[in-house]
Amino acid sequence: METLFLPLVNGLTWAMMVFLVASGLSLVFGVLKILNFAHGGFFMLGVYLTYTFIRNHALSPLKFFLIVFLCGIILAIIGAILERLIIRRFYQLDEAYMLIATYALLLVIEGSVEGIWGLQFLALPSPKGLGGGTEIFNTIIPSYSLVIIAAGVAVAVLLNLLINRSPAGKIIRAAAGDPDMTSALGINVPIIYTMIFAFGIFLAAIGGGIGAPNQAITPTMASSFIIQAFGVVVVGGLGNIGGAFLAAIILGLVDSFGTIYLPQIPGIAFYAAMALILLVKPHGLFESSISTK
Amino acid sequence: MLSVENLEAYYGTNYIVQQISLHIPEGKGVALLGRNGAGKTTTLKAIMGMGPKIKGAVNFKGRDITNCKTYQKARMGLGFVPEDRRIYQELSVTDNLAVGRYATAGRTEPFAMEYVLETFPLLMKLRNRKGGQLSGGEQQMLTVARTFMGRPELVLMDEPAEGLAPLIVKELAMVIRGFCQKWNMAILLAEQNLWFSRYCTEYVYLIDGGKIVFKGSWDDFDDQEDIKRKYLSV
Repeated sequence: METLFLPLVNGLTWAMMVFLVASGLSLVFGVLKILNFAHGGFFMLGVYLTYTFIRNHALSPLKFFLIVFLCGIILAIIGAILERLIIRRFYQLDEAYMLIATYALLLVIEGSVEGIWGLQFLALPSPKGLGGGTEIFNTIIPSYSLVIIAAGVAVAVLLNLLINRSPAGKIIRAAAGDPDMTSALGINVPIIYTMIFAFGIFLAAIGGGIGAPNQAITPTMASSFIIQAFGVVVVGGLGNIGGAFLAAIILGLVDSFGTIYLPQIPGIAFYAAMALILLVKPHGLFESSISTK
Repeated sequence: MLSVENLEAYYGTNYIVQQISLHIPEGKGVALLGRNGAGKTTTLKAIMGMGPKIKGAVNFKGRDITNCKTYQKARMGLGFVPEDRRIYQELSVTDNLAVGRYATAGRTEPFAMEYVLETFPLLMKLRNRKGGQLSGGEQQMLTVARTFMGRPELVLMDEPAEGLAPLIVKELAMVIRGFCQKWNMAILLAEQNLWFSRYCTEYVYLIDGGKIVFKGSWDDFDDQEDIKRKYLSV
């Protein structure tokens, strides 16, 4: 049991960590039809900003998550400003320009993080009471893994309710599917784009803050996370958040068990599984669920 | 209510609408007749600000709206029904209608969903069906109803009768005319169907090659057999 349960928890933890990044990426693609390379940068800024407020204090969980939320809001505001100043100039152009623009933004963020916080590894303590282990099925697992898994599931459920059940979700889907017609019905589509972009940044930033105690904090974490998040988004079907959730779990478990059964080539299972799925289903597991053209 | 002065519209370097002027009185119907490619759709899209580059002046309710954004025009009470219907395929009939409500923002109260469904009885039975599962005629009803939800004071309609069965055309004409008269709603109707146009409007403009070649009442129009033959395929 122990040999199976621990890698299961580890795989799910990795999956939910990547999903927190991928959810915003997928949402932004689903509505704005852009691939935002800078997304991983905002994830990293979420980590560093949270670190700056907390440093080496072990806070109560309530205070800790309040700070994470606050950092998300701050970065979402910056995201909204960037969308108005930079991103919206590229909507009408070929998508290659948007990739270059957002990649440039990622480089600026990485450079800024190195400049402000330095190159050294940093670490953030877990909130009080969540730093130890919890025994389940005779296996000691890190308590904080359960926090990350719960956060990933909560974000997936709340996003599903927002997009598919709420009145706001209907407008978002209308604006995503047919922006011109939706404008002609009296809806300010550019404002919706700004809000969705900012909300995507918010998701990336709180993903970073929630995950911060669980990993080494370095200025290269943006690039490594964005690649995995892109993999999850593509396998799940571009713009399908539920698909990204499922893809994260599949790829997370494959990676986790792959590392156990093939320890001599760690990390390869993720890419192998991704390639295999895309060979069979080149457009990913699901179609976009946001657009409603 | 709406006056268009010397409107020109371009797609790239294609000069499509060439200096046309239109006047639509409050609560009245105006038909814009013309063959395929005459410039009807581009005229409506130019007024609404949906695509072509424009010159000239568009005044609505005494305000110059030439440079307003599309959503601002919609909120001022300018409704638009596109020729290709543009139904949200994945949203239900009632959700499609709900999106139409926002055109009333800051101006008036939207119509009650039930009232609009009663006006379009065909949609009542299909209220929970997804937009993409409707037939062509049902989708046409829905796109008109969706725009009506936002209580437009003038609605621009692009060939609503195109491709519909005669029975549906008749039902649609009666619903549109009845609704417009009841709510004092003006209409600018781009059409090729003469019966439909005559039923829904009082005045006629005829467009050909991007220029207005005739304007007047339906009686004036009927007096001039030659222009009908020259500019319409009847």
